[in-house]
Amino acid sequence: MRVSSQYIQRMSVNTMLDQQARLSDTQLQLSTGKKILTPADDPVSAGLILDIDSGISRNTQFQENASLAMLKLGSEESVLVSVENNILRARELAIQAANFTNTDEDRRYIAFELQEIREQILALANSRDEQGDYIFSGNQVQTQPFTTDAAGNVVYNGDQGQRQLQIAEERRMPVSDSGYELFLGVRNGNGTFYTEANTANSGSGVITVGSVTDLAPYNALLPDTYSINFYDNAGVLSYIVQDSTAGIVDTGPYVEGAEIPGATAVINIGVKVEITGQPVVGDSFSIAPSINHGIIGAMDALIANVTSSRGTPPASAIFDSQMGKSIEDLDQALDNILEVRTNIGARLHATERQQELNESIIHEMTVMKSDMNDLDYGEAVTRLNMQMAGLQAAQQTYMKVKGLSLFNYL
Amino acid sequence: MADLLGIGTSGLLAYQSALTTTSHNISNLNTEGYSRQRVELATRIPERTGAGFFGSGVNVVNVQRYYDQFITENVWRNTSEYSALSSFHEMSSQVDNLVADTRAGLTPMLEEFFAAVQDVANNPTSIPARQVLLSSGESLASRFAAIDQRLATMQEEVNAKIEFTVKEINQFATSIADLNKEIASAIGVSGGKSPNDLLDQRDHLLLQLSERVQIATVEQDDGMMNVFVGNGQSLVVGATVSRYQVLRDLHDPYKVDIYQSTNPAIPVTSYLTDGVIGGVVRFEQEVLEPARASLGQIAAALSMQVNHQHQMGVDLTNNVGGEFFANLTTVGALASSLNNPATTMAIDSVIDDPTQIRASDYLLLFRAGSYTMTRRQDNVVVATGATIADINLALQATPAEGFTLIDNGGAINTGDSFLVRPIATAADKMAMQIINPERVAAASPVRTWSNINNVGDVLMSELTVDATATDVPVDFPMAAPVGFTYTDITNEFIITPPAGWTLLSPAGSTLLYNSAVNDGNQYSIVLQNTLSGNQMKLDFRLSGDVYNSDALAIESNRDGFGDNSNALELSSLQTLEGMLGGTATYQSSYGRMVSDVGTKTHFAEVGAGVAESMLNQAVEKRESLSGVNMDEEAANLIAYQQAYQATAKIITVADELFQTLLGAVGR
Repeated sequence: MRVSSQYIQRMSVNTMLDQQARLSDTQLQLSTGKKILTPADDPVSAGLILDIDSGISRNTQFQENASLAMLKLGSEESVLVSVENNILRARELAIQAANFTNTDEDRRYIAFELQEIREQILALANSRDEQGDYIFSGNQVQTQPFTTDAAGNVVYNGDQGQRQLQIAEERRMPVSDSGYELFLGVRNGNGTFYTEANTANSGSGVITVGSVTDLAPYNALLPDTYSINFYDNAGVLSYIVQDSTAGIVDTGPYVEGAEIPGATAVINIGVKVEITGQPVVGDSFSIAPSINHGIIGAMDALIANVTSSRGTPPASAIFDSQMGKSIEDLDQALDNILEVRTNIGARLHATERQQELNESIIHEMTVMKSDMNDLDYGEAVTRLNMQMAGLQAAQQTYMKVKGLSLFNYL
Repeated sequence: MADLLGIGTSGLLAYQSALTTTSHNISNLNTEGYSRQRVELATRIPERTGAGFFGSGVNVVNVQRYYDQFITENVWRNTSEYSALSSFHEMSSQVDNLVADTRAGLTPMLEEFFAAVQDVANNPTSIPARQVLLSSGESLASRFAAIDQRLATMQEEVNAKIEFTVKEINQFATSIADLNKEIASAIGVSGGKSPNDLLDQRDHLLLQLSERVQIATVEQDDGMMNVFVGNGQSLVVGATVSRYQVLRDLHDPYKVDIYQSTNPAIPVTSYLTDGVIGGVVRFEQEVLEPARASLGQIAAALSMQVNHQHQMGVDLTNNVGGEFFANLTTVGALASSLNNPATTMAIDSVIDDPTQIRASDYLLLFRAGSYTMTRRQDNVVVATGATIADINLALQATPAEGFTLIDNGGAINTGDSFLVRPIATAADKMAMQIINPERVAAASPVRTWSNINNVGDVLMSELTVDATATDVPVDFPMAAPVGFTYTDITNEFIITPPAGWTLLSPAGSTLLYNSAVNDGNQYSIVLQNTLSGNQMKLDFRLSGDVYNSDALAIESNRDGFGDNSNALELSSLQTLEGMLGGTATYQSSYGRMVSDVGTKTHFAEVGAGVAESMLNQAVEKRESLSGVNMDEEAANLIAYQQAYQATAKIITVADELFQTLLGAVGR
């Protein structure tokens, strides 16, 4: 076939230009270390890489959030440990105060220390974080959670909010607990119901805190308030247990330390208490569903009780009933703090595990991105060498062929 | 003997011509569009004698041009195709490069913005964290605007290129018409001989023309060439030229269209295919406009959805959150410049569902008492009707378009049209609305409360304001809490709305809750403000044991500065598939746009490569026939020279013969 001289010239130049363009691409890949220089090089991967970038950055943020969550949970826990220690000390003191060998003087000293502990707990409940925000006021972080009102009662000003931090795409970790839940949300009595001796009692009967024997009938009857009254049944000191509508639950002769209601119960209300000491006719006791009352409230009641006189047998009996109740209250408060602490421990553990998971997600995404975007240097260098050789060959061929002409021989 | 001299002379003249033509070939070796020429030689009319016919020498009958119309037209066609793809690729790779740099695109700004939201969620009371959120919102908004600005510059480049190319086409057309005239007269005076060099010049002009736009040619009997473009629109007919001009788009002042300069001017943009014009127009329609529209679509959806969520929160001043970004929902439609002068109607588009909104403009046409709405992205008629209200009904029907129209009144006349662009300006107009960091609404407007004297441990948790069924901004604060009191007679919570609010749902104002069965169930209530009519839907979960007269409450979250619920909700917008009909996040919408630009650029590159090799083949064919080969010409030079020398020898022989004769006579 005829080939025109101009065409030979143009094609040789074009070949060299092409080779140069390819060489320059490879060179750019080598200098950036990237396989994909523009989205056109690999449109699908290019879009995906952006998504992966976004995912990496989001998970990195989750990691930061998780670290912050650990920090917040850690500092909350350390406050709770102090609270717990204080309650433990208060409990020790309460047990000590309950001992009948104490003089009124001794009990005043105990009350003095208890008062200190109360202030300590109150201060801890009003703790602030590093930003000056109150830790235990729920979401009202700029409101002091516990203050004393005009009547001398400690009131809660916060709310029941709980802050959550996002530590994974579908996981929000609670990092705070409201003072309401921690310091107010404490059930009195044994946590289900509480017992009380009538302050007008003239006998020395002491009622125990009691326990639930059978939750199903207790719940089925719906928690009711029950009264235990002592009366004279033909010369025999007897008790009668009645519900709030005066329906008779049980009645029988009083035996010290026996379970009430006893085996003769008409209705199984699912609870039992014991009464010790010597009640007299007309004395009464009550069983009522537990209510929430605060730690501070419990402390105040305890202090008041510790300092109260136990000069007479009836007073002593009420003192004993009240002390039993107070110690039970402290146990409830302790349980409550412990429960939250356990919860915090679980949250810390879960956060830590989530951090590990996030780390591996980030790692996976980085590997995926690297697979798509990072240059295989070995392959690229080989390619560069081949392209360089190709360009050189094209240049040499051009120089050789260019010189060929019949005119050289004319 | 005179014959011998005559034959010799004829040979000398013939080979002189041949040498001239060869020299012409050699000297035009590098002339663009040149076709090699050859003299055609033929024997002269022989002399008849009694002994038969004696040859009388050689004659030049024609200077032939090596040329094939089919091959040449093939070159033109391939040139058009190649220049279309290469100009498309050239412009498209600019957009490709713009989105290629991961640090310069939208992605890092989206990441930063949502990371800043998370930081506010981590520290809702921290003013510095809120300040960072405001500045990253600012950066995000300006990144949208910056990318849009770059694309707007590309649009200007497209306009300039079209304008310049149309000017060139007009010039080439004029030159071709001029050459047509010359060629016709040259053919006339030479008695039908072809004026080779003029034809080459014209072919070369046609080649250059086909670089600009695809052409079709028809040669007249008189040698004039008629040139047509597009759909048979004439460009050159004989010596007459039809001119083309570039005018502003009827609706969009930032775009141009090509018109044939007739009266009235006929729009031809869509008919012109291939060549630079075809490539640039295709780039505008397939890359530039979709990219800008996607960007606007993301900007509109992001700003609306962030605003919506933000207006459901409460800030550090105990006020309901305002608009976070500038409101981009309402955009005025552009009236056509050809609308009846008596038309005064003004139309706005209002985005009502950012999830459904599409990356497209719409054309609203009024003709014979009826409106027709066409989606320009795919030329689908999406609504017809006699009134704007009818159009709106159709726009909201499934599949919804995500926006409706507002008729601002005024007269409309038949033939009027409007360009409706719900998202076209969103990226450019994106801006921050709030400037005070305290006004970032990170908290929820409501919180739960359980009575301290509850017997059961019943808990209301995960209280959220339902984004989908809530009027924004929410009404805040409520004068008193919404009360929930349990009655064990019916196992229900009796709900008491506060003064100034009515409870729309649940019916009967009671919620059945049996802790043995419903523990952990999800409930919702709907409240309506009697004054504003605004509705608020609240979702929550109930769990735990409940006893008679246990009480719960939902109350206004006053002073809940440590609450980050709304910030968390804002942050979850990052992964919400709230775009493209609920199939894409902001990031993945942008990713789709990037890979779309990449795909188009990639295929243009591949296509240009293929077109180039096709063009090379066509050129090779043409060059093979018409191109000059130096070696061939050198060989011809030698051959003709030798022939010339040999013919000269005939003259010498004739002279010698004559001298011999003279010598014989003179003795």
